[in-house]
Order: sequence, then structure tokens, then C-alpha cells
Amino acid sequence: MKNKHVNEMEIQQYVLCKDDCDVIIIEHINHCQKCKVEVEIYELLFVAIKKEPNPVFEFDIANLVMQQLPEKQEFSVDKYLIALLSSISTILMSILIYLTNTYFPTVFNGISSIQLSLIMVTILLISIFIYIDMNKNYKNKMDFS
Amino acid sequence: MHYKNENNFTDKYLIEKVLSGNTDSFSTIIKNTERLVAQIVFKMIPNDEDREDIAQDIYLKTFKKLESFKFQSKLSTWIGQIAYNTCLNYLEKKKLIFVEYRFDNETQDEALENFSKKINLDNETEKQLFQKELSEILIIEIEKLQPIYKVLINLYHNEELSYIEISQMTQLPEGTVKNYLFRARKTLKENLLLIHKKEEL
Repeated sequence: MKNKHVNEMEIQQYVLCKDDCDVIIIEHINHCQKCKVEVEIYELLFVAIKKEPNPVFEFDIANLVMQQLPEKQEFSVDKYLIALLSSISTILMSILIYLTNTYFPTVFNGISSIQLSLIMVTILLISIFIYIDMNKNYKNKMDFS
Repeated sequence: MHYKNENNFTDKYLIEKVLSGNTDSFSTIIKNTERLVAQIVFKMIPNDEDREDIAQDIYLKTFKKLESFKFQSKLSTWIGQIAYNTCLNYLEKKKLIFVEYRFDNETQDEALENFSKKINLDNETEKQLFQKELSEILIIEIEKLQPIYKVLINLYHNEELSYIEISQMTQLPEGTVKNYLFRARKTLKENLLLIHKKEEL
């Protein structure tokens, strides 16, 4: 048995988790009146802390906060910007096509079918790569684990 | 890991909802974490009027920062961290001065001896009365503790959070959390003995 009194840290440890305590400490506490009283004080202390009523806000915090939140998140502004830019691009493309449509039938005249298919395959492959990369990035961003 | 809340919604589900524009889901987040935030605010902010502003500030900050939440902890722990930091900033601005308690060994031994007699009372009714009296003193003494100690005591003993969770919330090293908790309990015990001794005189 330990003859010297158990220190404050060991007493707290004993009250919080007796199983983690050294046998010598447990034995000392069982036989020492002074240390036993210290243990009892801490036990009373922890019971009193548990008994403390939980504080509650006297106001409806959810209601107060919800009143101050915007209806939608700010990125709705970005959506309008994207729509605006898309519209401008479409209009510009339409004007361009309208102005140059007389040249269209002759555009592919000078290119052989092999060259044309090569261009098409290249465009298709690049598009697939871009799509895969975008999809991978999106999944990475959405993975919250 | 996806933590489920009281209402069975995972943190991930609620955050996705809020970020996709459904702000009503934020109300669920508030309800899920209100108790924890109240524990922190009440223990750290002494002024009733300021508590309302600070509580709102905590949730508005949470809403603004929600997109940056990395799911490295529970959402409640993260909100607890925002609450703790907001309260800490308030205390720093107000420059609140804390009272230091002093207790010499001689007084402590004397008080301990008196205490020992009371604890070992033969009469069960008297013993229960004594314990009730002690509980009342303790509730007052907890309120007298430094805000940081009060919060740590409540998070550990009432909210039953682990040292790691408290450490994440307060951004204090785990060892510091343990040390502060030890000192808070010790201070409480010493104050209890001191008051008991004063009442005896």
C-alpha cells in the first residue's frame, strides 16, 4: 500500500475512472480516511455539476436568425450572370452565322473525308477528356467524407 | 463519417440543403445545436442583454461560413468552436478581469477535517441536508469560476463531450484541456471547503 497521500490529480482520476487507476492508489484510498473524504468531495462536486439546470435562451433564436437570412444563397447572382453571358453569346453567334451563311456550302469542299473524320475524332476525344476531368473534380468537391 | 442528429438528418444532408438554397434547413441546424451554444454562451457571457446579440452573431457567422465546413468534425463541434471564439472575442473586447482564489494548505487541512466529520454523519437526514446544502453552494461557486473553466466543466460533465471534441471546439491542445479541467475542479473543491469553513465560524 502507498503510504504517502494520493495527489489531487490521482484523486480526480479515481473519481472519474476508477478502472484506469493503479491498484496501489485504490488500496491507499480504501484505507486512508483523509483521501476518502477528498474522493467524497469530488463525487459530490460531480453530482452537483450534473444537477445544474441546462441554460435555455429566453428568445426564439431560430426565428431571430431566420429573419436575417437571405431567401436564397448568394450564388443565384452568378446564375443570372451565366444566363446573361449565354444569351449574349447566342445572339452574337446567330448574327455571325447569318452574315456568313452564304459561304457554308463551300467550307468543307477543300477537306477530304479522312481529314474531316480526323478533326471530328480529335474534337470528340478532347470533349470526352474534358467531361471526365470535370466530373472527377465535381465528385471530389462533393465528397464530404 | 456522417453524423446523424436528433432528428435523424445527417450533417451532410442538412448542409447540402442549405447550400442549395433551402435556408429553412438552417433552422433545423439551429435547433440541433441550440443547447450546446446556450451552454457556451451562458457560461462565458455574464450579461443577459449581450447573450441575444452574441447568439445571433454565432449563427449568422455559421451560415456565412457553412460552405467552408470541411467535415473534419461533427457540425455541432464546429458550431461550438464558432460559439466559443465569438464569446472569447467578446470577453477580450470587454477586458473582463478575473478574480484569483487563494487557499493555503493549513486552511485546507482544517476545512477538510470539519468536512470529514460532516460527511460521516450517522444521521441520514442530516447527511442528506448537508449534501443538499453543498450542492447549492457548488452551483454558486461554478458561476464564480473563470469563463473558460466554466465552459470546460460544462462541456465535459454536462454535455459529456470527449477531451478531443472539447479540444477541437476550443482549439486548445488536449493536454491543456485536461489541465484546465483539473484546475477548475480543484478550484471548485477548494472554494467549497473555504465556504464551508466560513459557515462553520
